[in-house]
Amino acid sequence: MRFRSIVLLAIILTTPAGGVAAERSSDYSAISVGGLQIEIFSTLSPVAINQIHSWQIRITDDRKQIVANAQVSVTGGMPDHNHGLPTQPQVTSQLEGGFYVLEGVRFHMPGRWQIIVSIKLAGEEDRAIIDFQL
Amino acid sequence: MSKKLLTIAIVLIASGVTAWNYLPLPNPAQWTEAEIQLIDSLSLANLPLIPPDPSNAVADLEQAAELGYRLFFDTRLSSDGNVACATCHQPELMFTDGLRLSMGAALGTRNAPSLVGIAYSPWFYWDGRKDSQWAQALAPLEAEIEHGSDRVRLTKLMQTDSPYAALYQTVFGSLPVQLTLPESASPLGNRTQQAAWKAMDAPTRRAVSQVFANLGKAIAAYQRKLIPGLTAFDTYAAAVIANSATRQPDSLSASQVAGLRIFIGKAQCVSCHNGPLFTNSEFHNTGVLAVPGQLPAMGRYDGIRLAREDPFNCTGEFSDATASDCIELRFAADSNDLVGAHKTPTLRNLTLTAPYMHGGQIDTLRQVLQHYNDAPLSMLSHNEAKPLGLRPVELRQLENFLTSLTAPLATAKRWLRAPAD
Repeated sequence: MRFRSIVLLAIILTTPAGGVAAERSSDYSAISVGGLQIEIFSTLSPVAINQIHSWQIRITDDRKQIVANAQVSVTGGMPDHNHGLPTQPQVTSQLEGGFYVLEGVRFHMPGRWQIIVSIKLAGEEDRAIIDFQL
Repeated sequence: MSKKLLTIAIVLIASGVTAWNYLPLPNPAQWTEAEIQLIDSLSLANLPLIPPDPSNAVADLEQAAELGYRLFFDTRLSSDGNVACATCHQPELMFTDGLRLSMGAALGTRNAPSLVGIAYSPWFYWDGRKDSQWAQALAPLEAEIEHGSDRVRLTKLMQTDSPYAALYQTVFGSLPVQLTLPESASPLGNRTQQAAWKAMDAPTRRAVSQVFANLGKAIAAYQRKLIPGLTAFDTYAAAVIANSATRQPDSLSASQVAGLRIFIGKAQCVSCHNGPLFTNSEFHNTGVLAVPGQLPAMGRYDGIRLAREDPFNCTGEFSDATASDCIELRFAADSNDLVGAHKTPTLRNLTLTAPYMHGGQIDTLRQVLQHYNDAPLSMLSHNEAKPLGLRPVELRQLENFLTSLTAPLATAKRWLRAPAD
């Protein structure tokens, strides 16, 4: 029950802006169940349908410290249409500044999308749900 | 007295039902901001430049298109001399053939999709089993039920036909002429052809496959020229965008405008038929019945696996791309979601491309709309579409709107008829 409330909170906190430490503001952001700040910087901004592109995911903790060397993976889909992403995006590298490069992102329909960012660090698993409209 | 009342009640109810089914509601005076954005997103004015194909170094060379154009209409590319690409992809039918299932050297298993604007798609065939236009163009040449030819015979045609040899050399440099070749051979042919292929040495096999791949690249260069033209809908969209508040454009009828509203609204056709080509070039299971006489098709679930194994794919030895160019193939999904999923076709020019669906299962546009209104259970996996609950008058409006998407191609006319010589 508590988990559900936290997930709900993560969804509510999802906003189309709010980057704190980057040169430009993030395209999406959310707070993970475990309290990490997840910020998405898209190479295609604003994010649009039918174009394959990549994201940089920045993860910071509640003291604004970069979370590096985590295992980050992404899934998602359209809950209203009962289907997943049209691609299988993968984190292919890590950049300085706490950025994880996610390649192979594409959305193929307008409507509500949900992206789940899973973070594994030191044996702990955490996740954030990013909810947005295209 | 009570009998009279009953009669009046029945007449009133019947009139009400008839009115509900067949009387259109008036169109609102203006589009909302969200609707205007969707209309704009569908407009041909927003079609970007044709995307590059890094796997095909000659994709945008004029001489390659010229060679591809000649190959496209040439029946000598088939084993019986009767089948060309243009047999099933006829320019006057927007590069389809009007048949449920195509007829090459024998009856095919799929409906011929339109080639117009298809260069914008990352995937080819209804199940997306090819990841480039040139890799797609190769398969029918060696398919027994289509051209029924093979790469050795096609290489020999290039060697012996001097206009082809000259054009080929202009585009690709040298044409291997010193090869000792059997009459017919292919790794995909019948047992005799396969045995003949195995008997060839590796450098010869590679040289022949390279010529074969190059023919596909030339055909693709030609097909990249097939671009849709401005339709009544695009004229309407331009007027809406330019002056949405004060002017009611008249390039669409009131019924078509109502149909457009349903298309982007209640029916949510725009979920998949989106963008200036009215397609997301992705794969969806919409509960279409299996082709009569065939098992239900696995669709994209099998298609992506075939694309990965294809020796002519983006990462293969005949591709001009570097591995980092092949992001579509690298990150393609392959999940169970894709069982029974087929590629969303463009809706542009669809009045000329019947019958519809991957096996031509549905003959008319009206029946297609009824299919989506009903959203039947899928034979395999699940139907992503939900019943629409459209009234008969709304279905008619939607159909009327869809007829506004046909127009002559933007392509120069010389490319749309067979070469004179």
